[in-house]
Amino acid sequence: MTLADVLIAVIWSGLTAYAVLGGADFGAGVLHLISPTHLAGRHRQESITAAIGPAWEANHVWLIFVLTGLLTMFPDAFAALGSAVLAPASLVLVAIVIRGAALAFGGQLTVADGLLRPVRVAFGLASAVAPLVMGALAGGLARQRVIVDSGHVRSGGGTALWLGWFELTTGLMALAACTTVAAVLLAARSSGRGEERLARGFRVHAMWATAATATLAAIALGLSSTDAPRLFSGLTGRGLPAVIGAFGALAATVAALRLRRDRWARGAAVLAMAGLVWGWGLAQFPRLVGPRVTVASSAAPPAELHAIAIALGAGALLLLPSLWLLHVAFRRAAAEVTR
Amino acid sequence: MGHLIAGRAQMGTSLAFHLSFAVFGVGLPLMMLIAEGMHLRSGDPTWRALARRWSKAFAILFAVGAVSGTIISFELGLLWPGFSRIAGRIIGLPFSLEGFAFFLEAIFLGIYLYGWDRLSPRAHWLSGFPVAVSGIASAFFIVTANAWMNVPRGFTLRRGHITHIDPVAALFNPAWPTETAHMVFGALLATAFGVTSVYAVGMLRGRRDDYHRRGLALGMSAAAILAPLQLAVGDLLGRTVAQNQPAKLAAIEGQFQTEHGAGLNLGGFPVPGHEHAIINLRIPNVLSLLAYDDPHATVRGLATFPKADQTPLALPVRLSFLGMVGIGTFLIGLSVWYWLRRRREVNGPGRLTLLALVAAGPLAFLANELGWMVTEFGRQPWVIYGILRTDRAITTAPGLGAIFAGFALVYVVLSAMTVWLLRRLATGAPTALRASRDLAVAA
Repeated sequence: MTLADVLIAVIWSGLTAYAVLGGADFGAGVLHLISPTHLAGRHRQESITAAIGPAWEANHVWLIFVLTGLLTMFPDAFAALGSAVLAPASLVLVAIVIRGAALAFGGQLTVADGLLRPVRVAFGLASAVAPLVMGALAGGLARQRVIVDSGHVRSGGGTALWLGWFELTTGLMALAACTTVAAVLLAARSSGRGEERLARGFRVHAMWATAATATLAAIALGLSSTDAPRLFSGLTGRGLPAVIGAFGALAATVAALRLRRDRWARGAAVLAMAGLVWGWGLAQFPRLVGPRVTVASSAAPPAELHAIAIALGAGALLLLPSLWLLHVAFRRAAAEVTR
Repeated sequence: MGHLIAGRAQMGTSLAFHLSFAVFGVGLPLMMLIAEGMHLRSGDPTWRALARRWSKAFAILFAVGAVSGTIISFELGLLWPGFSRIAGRIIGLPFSLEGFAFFLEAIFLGIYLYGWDRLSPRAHWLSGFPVAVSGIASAFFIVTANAWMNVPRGFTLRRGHITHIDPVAALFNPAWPTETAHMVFGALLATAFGVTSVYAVGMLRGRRDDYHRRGLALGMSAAAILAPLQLAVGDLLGRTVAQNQPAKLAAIEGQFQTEHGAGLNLGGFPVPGHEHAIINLRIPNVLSLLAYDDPHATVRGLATFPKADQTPLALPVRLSFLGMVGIGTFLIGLSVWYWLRRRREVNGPGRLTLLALVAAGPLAFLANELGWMVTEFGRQPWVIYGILRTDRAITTAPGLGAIFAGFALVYVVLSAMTVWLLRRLATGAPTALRASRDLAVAA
């Protein structure tokens, strides 16, 4: 295993963190959108915005980590990706911007403002569009067909990259998986605070979302056997443990939800999301963008990789205690609120 | 709209938008720390109320800054794959380090915001320090990468191939000390005047309580220290440009012909199609003295560079530079005027001074934007000076015009809503402080 292999695994871990934490944010937006407008629904919405509150848009830090990681450690892959995904990535960006702004503005608005409803709907819709397009894009990239040659997309680019039945399936799967993680996290949060009524509602959402994720994942796997043979052989080869793990974790999520073991369900849902991300990653390793741009071919020169590896280590030494401190501060704050 | 122009317009809009929020990200934590520190020392609740209100505003500004920063990290790849391919492998280190600084800032901001009533006053104050330090560190790392684009170092270029990469030499390129210092001081100064501006508006509306007076006094104290420093650093940065980017210096100064003992142009606009600067007044030998410490030094003129290497935007560069320097001079003068008059005006500054202070905040932000236009327009036609031309760095993917139009629309709506919300937030002293006053006023 080379240093580049280790570093791409670090980047993929960052992507997993974004899929779980950012995914939970997106999913929460979707749940916010589908909450009914009567009183119980409003309670649910308030609980959702309160849960996102502390982390807010800070979870995008993981996406920035992935992008700067690719830019600095695998510059050729970053450049090839940039050339190929302009339109869908711009769509994702607009959705992220609208979502973040709507959340920030919504917190400052009151019902009397009249703007509150459109802002909330924009928040929910943008929260759904972002994972949908990202999932479709991931599906398109996983087929490993796009060929980028020194800044020019030779084939497999344009709409063919992200618009198609397989891509629609993976997009919907991403949307369902985000909703699963969000609903399970919110159920655990509500039952932890003794709000059993809220927890019950979130559990029902979580159950449906988990079932949808599993179904869509199975369809995507089936479609890939004919539509994306390269991906299929990867998923049934190197990626098989992660694929089995993902399906197992999805089943475990449903089981834990039925038993009302919300914390177990939370762990299982996070594992399921991680299984999906790593199944994709392992299936196409060592190819990063299409068949030609690989980990080895796109890695920065050794001097740069070493410098960044050292910076990553030093940064982690600063970050981990800080995250622990944040956790302690919030726990103390939460304890005080319940008192 | 042309492909290249659309791409540059989108990148420029994104950067200009992000800058105004990033400036607060660098400057506001420091102001909060000072105000909260004053409260710890004096026990005066007004200081705490100020710090707390600023932290609320900062939460909004930071979130918008995070989202607009995400956009830029996308656009580096989407719009400029040619740039990413080269810059990523040479100057990647500060990008990675900036990621960590941003992460730390977010973590401790979370602790700071949620710790107001939950941590001991001292622990809470201390939790603000990492926010301020990492905010400044972020600016430092990102501007270092920009300094490298101006003065690229740390590699060897032979027949189009880049070898012998030295990330540390790239990081500590000749332009990093002056460029980063100019940005950090610029951000601190803009925040100081921005804060002042808010309380000057309040005072104009008749709110001359302790809350407004202290807010204004803190902003002006910071400005009094920072403005002269910024002037000195700006002068040093001018020398860095003179040493490393003579074509940029010529555009900045409106210098057309090479000259020994060049004079400083007042006016002197490099209009396309003209051989000489128009509308000019010269102070002999001063430019040579300022740029090279020698009144007889040679300053190379714009016309002597090959057409392909001249910035096509000489006039905007010159105008932006004059605007920035003009605003800086105005701010220094205003600061001196304010402190000279302060003792005589027992009831706070007079109406005219207040009006000038109100204008100072937006102007200080404009000066930051203009400064970036000087450096970015002035570097054209290069994206990496002397190494990579901007038209070779742009993506080949079609549709940039439509995408730019979409983004521009989003930005306009977003800016309007942010301004509207911040104005709602700045509605006088918190009610707890007003309790002693007539409640009818609060209603």
